[in-house]
Amino acid sequence: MKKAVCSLEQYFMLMDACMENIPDLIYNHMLLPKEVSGFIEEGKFYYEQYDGDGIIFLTDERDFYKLYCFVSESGNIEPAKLDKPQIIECIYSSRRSDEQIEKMKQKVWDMGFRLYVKNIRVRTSLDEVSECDACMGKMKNDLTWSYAVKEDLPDIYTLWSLLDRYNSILPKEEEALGMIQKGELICVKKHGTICAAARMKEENRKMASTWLLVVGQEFRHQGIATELYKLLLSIAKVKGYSRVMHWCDEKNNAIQNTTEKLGFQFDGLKSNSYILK
Amino acid sequence: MKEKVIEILTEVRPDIELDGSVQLIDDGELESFDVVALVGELNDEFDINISVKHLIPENFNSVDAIVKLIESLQE
Repeated sequence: MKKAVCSLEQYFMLMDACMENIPDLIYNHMLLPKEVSGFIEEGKFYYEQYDGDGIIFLTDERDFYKLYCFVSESGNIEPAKLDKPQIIECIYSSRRSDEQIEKMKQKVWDMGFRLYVKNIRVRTSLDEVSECDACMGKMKNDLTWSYAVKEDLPDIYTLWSLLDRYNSILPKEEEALGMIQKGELICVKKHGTICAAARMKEENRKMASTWLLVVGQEFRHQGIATELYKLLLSIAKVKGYSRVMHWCDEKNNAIQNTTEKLGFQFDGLKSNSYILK
Repeated sequence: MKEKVIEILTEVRPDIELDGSVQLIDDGELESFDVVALVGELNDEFDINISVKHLIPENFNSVDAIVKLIESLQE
């Protein structure tokens, strides 16, 4: 039975108990205190305790639960039956061997989860990017762009519905409104119709990241994704960032070819997502 | 050791500022994904085992803090 985590202190207490009692603890991911606080504030953070075998924290991500496992390598964990699919993301660096994550991958498999998607993190420097296009609002192929406003949200959600709902965390409407307020949502229009959208947010003072980038079905194969990426890079440059990163499906050759041409390169970080439906 | 830690940190996040005035976690320079990657690389490079209990911001806020963590695990 999942229970809500109500405070950061409670989270620390649960983690402390787990670390004290389980000598062979393994994990798929980690959480920084500010992330935990954010989840608690949003009211979407839960946990399942397994006596002597660890704890699994869950975030409710609308279409699925995302799991953060801190479990005994030798323990017997049977995941709770929940009302939505559960996803475990194993993060690792591809540059070196990581025994811990290999053990975790095996554990995830033993728990009945199966590999769903592999993502890679790519990033590019903005040194060679021109600010001009974004400043002048210029785009090719009769395209125009603007920061999204509240009235754009229904169309943007229609586009977002095209994304893989287990590989993208779609924001709730109030979260999307917050993104609009911060100027994070950008939409591209063709002859007045929103044909593509993306979110760009700050990772730190020097780096921005792009998320939820999508081009409408009937607008694909027209170079719109390339134009949108170019635009995002220009906007990031204007805003003073020096790099942009994003995660993409390792098998999505189309998007990888597009981003590679714009200078994005794999930075060594991989993520395997496993699903239990 | 410090040079190697800087090299690994720069591999994981080439854009990072390591001038000593920046708190890598508290100032948002490193995110949790980076820390997970960093831990794997440090374990491999220094033949140590950074466990969950070490995954607290204080241990990753600066190069010096990371070096201190590695030294304590090698003792």
